[in-house]
Amino acid sequence: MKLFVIQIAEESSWSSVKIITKNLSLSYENLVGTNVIQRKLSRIISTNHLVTLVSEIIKECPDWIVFLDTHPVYGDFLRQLARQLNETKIQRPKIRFHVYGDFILNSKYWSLWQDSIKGFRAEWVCASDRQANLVRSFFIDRCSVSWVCPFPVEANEFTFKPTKREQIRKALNIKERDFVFLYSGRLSMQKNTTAICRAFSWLHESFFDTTHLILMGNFDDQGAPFNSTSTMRSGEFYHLWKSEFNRLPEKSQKRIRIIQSLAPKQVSQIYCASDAFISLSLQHDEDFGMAPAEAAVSGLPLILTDWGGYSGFKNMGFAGLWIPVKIESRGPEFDINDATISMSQLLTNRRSDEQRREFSELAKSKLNIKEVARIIIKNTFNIEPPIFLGFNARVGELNSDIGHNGSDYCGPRFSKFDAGSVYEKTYRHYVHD
Amino acid sequence: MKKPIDIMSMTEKVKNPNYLYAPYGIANWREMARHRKPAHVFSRPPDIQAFFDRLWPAVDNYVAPLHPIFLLDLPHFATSLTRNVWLIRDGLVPLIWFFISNPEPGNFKAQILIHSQFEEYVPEAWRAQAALFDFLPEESEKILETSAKDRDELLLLGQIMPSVCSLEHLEKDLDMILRKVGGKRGLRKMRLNAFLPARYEDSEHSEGPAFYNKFMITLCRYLGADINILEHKQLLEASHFRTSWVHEFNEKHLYVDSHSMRIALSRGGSILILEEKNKQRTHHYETIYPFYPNLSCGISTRFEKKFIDYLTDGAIIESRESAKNYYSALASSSNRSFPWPRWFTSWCKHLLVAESTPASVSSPEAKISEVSLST
Repeated sequence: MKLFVIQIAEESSWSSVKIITKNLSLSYENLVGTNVIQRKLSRIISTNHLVTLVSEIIKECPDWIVFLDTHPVYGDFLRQLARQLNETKIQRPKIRFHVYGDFILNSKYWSLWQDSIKGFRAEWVCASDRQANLVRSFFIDRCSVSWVCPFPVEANEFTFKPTKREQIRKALNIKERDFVFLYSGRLSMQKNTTAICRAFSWLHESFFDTTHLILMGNFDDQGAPFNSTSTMRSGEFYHLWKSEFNRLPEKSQKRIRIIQSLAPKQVSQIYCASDAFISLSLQHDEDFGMAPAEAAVSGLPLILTDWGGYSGFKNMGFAGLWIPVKIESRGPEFDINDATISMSQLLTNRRSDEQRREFSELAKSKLNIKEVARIIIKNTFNIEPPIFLGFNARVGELNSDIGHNGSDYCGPRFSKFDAGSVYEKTYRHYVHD
Repeated sequence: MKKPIDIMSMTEKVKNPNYLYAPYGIANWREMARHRKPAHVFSRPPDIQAFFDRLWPAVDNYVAPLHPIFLLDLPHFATSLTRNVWLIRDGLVPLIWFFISNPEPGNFKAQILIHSQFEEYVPEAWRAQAALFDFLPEESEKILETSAKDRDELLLLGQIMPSVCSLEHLEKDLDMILRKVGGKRGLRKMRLNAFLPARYEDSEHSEGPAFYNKFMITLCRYLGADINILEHKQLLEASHFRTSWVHEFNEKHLYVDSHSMRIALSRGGSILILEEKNKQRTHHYETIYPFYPNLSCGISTRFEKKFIDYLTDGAIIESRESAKNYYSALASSSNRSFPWPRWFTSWCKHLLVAESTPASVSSPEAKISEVSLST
């Protein structure tokens, strides 16, 4: 079996996408019993080069063409592929798209591409069950989204090492008996990091002297247009965040540390030094959660919102607590008290080094590159995707909410969240299995 | 007798920033987003707007305490009593023309913060209500700092415009870059990234259209052509520049505080070439404000260098380095390409300050919307 695996040549500016495509590509390199040819497609490819590339691929008669991510440039590729195959009698390869959380944001591209994909056997592979349910709801034939492939983690980079833990804690002036909650990821609106701080500040006083919260990541101003508000101005979220932070009791503020802009090597060290990972994100494209996945592989128990891809870790049997989320008329919500209670539970039940190693081994067994390769190979041989019939009318609904408003943002803008609204119909799959 | 600058009032302002109105807290960010009003919009004259458009994204607005602003926009807000501090983002040329048009503060009562590099260009009459600022990367815990040997990338920033960086200045910078990274051999070990948008200047006073070709060829002659060119979005969304040295091609004639440089420093980038003046800086900051993620703003009210007096005919001391910079700035494209004397009127003298808070900023919603200007 021959697979052509295509990804964008230029690195994504999103660190998680960069890591995901790199790791997925490694999983494809590990497919046993297949001939995998990896190609990179430049964003600025000329039409002549594209024609040549597509004809070269067709000559190789691949069984599959796999796209590791989605990008506007694939539209030209797909059109060219359909055009050249229409002129030959060569059997059409099957097409696979690995879908990320930006499926909703890119709905307009999917609409534009669908005519080129019709007639191919095609499948969309998501990283979690809930993301698969969400994506499936936009297809005429729901079998186009039939299996789930978690994003792999480079397990060797995130191994739990007690010696490293000791060393980093010493350097950060954290005592051995102290408990460290860690959030890692972007510090933006929808990640709800102020809710983490508030939940932390509500912990019982007796915990305070021995508990720390580390927030690791960059502040950014993204996320507002998704909810029909104008784009945040540069630096605005940081100052809003600061003003919210300043309202916390001083004793809580003293126990919260922000670590910004770390290189990947340093990130894994902080995971080692921590005791639990917490994320209360209600991000609109939380299809998987690379940071919790890396934390789990580092042996950390998780406290996560029961939202989108985060719930997938619960189904995988990872150690952790999940905060219930509901979609109310104001949007998705959770009770911060639940987060405080979860934090207290972990505080009173600290995991030993041995337990962390067990957690780490379990997560590695589910998410390492070879295991993901095994999942891919099984489904590649066993599942025949249906002929793509097109997207249903709901994609049109999303596209009608797309706005520009002078900013780069061109995804949908939701202003209503109540039952039956476009938002609720879309994201109900993020709160229910 | 000069009245000392009121640092305390500035401190209070930062502690209780009245514009940061978040009625529901950002934990419930959807509510806050719903209550947010668009930025305060005002119209600039078309030629001034065109100037800002040409310098985008370097001059992109941002939200920060101390109210960063360009002098051309200042008159629009000068009558408002709600702000008493303005951080001036301009470079040397507009600064000179502003002070030439307004040698005394007149009725303008607010405090202005000028980049410390321009200390000698602030007239004596302004010094009572002026202070000097510098951006300071926040220090992280030692264990988390990136050592110099781990910085194996070079991020080049700037706008390709004769008014921002002349070819002469470019060559000087490239020479220094090469020396700093250990020559071409050292350079080979580094990954080069660049965000260098080109903005065409069609003025008869600037260099011809071949400037842009010459700029790129010069760059490649020194650094090679293996440069990863970044889009603006990639710069904005980059997770970190922890492993990067950063250099901006900017003569600081038009702007001293660029958006791109601020982003790079905010994400952990380290300046490759620290100017001698900065190294030897004797100012110690009286106050340091959290200003932008990972970046503080140090403020000093003490002026140690004398004004070079370009306001009085014949008073300028030609031998001083700052005088050379003054003449060089006036001879540059940055000065010749734009109608500075026409753009800067003597508005400070004739300013009528409103006695009461204007109605437009009386409501809390308006306060948040007023945070920055909209271009």
